[in-house]
Amino acid sequence: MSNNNVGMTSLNKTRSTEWLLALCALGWGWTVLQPNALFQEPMYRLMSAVFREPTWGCLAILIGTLRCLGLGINGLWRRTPLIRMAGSIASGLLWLTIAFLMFVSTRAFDAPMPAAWVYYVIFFVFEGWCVAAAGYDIFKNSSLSYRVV
Amino acid sequence: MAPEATDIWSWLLALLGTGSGGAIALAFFGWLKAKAEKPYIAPPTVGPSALGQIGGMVMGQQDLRDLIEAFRAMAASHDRCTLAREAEMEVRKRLAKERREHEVDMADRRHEEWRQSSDLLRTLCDRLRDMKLTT
Repeated sequence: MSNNNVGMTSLNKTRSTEWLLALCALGWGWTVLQPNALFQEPMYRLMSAVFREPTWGCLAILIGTLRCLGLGINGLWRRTPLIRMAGSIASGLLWLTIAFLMFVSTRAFDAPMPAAWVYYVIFFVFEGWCVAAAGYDIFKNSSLSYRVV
Repeated sequence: MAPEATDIWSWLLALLGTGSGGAIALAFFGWLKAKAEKPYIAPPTVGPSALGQIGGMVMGQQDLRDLIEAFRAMAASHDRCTLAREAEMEVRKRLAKERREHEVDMADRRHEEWRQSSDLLRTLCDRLRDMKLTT
């Protein structure tokens, strides 16, 4: 007998995860923007070849702030799954980029891999979950259909 | 830009493109999941008291024919439960559809009224202008 999808609705319960990941992006950007030569470390060297240190910090803070705004709107006075999906994709791509560049950098310069590196991969995976949840809410809210009001 | 940076950029763009594609696929998965969901109605159950009655019906029978009849009655009761449940789901679906259609109708009507009043205003303005021109 079909279970009527009982217990299968955890897919869309990712709001707290999205807040957590948005704050992680904000915190990461804030840390990078501190006045110390973080990007002189070998694991960040390839990242500094792509963008300068403040640019990375500002990018992370921008993504985190816009995501927090989208999530605040979504929970307070209007549901905005499309904004949440865009934020999750942007944030996920940021984690993916950081993880990839740090991995290649440590291999290229024979530096030890930081223990926290795996967090970026985990963040990326959970952003995928958040994107699927946003897709779920997009259908439930008919966000893609045009309605004359 | 340094050559190694250009190389890294090409790798990064490939990675980001794949990541974005995966993200869209995941969002589509979530969308499909929500689309496949049905309204939840508890599956029919006989409950403990009815189970006792059924036990009495079955145990009180003297021969196989009566026993089969009792089981047939139970099966028919279960079928009725299933039919009622399916009918309820169908009714809910129809109600939701009718409500949606009603909302669209109302919106159309509002739009039509707004258009008519704006037409009226425009005509009025034109007439006024004509009057000014002729006098």
